[in-house]
Amino acid sequence: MILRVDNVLKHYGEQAVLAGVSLEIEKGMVCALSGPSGAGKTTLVRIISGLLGFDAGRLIIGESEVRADEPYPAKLYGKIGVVFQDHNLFPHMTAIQNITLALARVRGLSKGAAEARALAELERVGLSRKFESYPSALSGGERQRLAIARALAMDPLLLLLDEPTSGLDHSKIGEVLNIIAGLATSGTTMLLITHNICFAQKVGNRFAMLDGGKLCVSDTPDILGQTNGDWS
Amino acid sequence: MNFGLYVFSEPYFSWLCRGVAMTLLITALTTALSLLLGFFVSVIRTVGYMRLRWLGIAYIIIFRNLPPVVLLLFLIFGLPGLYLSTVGSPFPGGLEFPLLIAGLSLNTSAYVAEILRSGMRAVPAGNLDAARILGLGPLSTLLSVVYPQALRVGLPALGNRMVHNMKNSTMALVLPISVDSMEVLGQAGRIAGQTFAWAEPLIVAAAIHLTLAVVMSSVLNRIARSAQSKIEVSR
Repeated sequence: MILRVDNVLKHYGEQAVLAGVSLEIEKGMVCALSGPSGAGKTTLVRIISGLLGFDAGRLIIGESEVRADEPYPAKLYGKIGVVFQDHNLFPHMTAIQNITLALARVRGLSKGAAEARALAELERVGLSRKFESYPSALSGGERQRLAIARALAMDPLLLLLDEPTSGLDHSKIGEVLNIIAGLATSGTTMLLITHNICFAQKVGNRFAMLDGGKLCVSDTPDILGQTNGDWS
Repeated sequence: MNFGLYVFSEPYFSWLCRGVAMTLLITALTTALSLLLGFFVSVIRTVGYMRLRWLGIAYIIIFRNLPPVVLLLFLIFGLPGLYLSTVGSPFPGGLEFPLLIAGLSLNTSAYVAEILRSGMRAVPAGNLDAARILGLGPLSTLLSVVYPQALRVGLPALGNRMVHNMKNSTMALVLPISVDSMEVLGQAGRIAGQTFAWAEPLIVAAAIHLTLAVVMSSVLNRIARSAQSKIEVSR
């Protein structure tokens, strides 16, 4: 078991954003999470990644337990990869520097080893020729692929992808989804927030739907029935 | 008519050259020291400890609002007397130049701290989230993610402060510093003291300052534009 979300509650003032959400993700599983805007999907990602506290319930991430009344364990930072909607790349750093920063500072790799690892990840997402480019010189799809490479370089237990194709134009969505599909095939454990039902069915082993802060569906992707198979 | 040309004859020309060198030295030293001080003040302005934060706020209020000439006069003329009455021994001599640098740096560092702080506020919150998720500690985040961006955002304003530092160097005129340490205006005054004519040396000193300021501004603007072009994220 990589992740267990156990009856997590989160309120913003009087409003319950997550009203007792429970979810389990096994190693190698891809869980596609969908739901309308404001359902609490991003809140759940922020809670799992330690960016946001929660009011009740608990998380089990790998061997660590995270309780509502205790601080998020510092040792978990760097072990969960997150790809945000708007990539959050460091704009003053080149593509390779975006990846090597944490490898050197957090993992303690030498400059050479960090660069070798970063180049391997850039190769994996098809950006090895743009290793010296700044994010401003990359297209939206390339930035998102760089964000995926940065997250993967840390060998995360779990990769959280929060609507990684939102804001991309149609021609760029396919290049990001192809990378994610490749990761799913290679056994990367992922929680994928997406509105793309067809893609969720294609790459997910599990499909869940949040609505009004509650998990109203948690099943195999077969529940989605037949889709036309075109995910981009 | 050879209006003012004597200013370019010896020994006045050498004095002016010496003055330009001292102006540039004062500007460079003041800029370096104020960047360092401003960096530390901006750090303590952002840490979680309220006492340190208040210390940073007090520093900025005092040194930003105190006229630099008052600060310099206090350091050169007030401090020795205060030192004598509290410590009981005479204030060490020959410290006028270091005190000039210190006084100008204290003044500028308060502005630098505020420029850096406003630059820090321009760093996207998502960058801090990303740094935290990657496992970077607060110091690494500050040094590798926040400050490099804050500096780029603040470069035009920091460049302006550097030009101000150069202009403020003329305040050395009111201080008893040695002729070797005199900047351009001081040397112009020295020439006027010898020739009993103020207009020509002052015009030359003004032209030198104007040239240095224009060149410095244009170089710094170019550096700022180049640095900022890299962090503009086109969507």
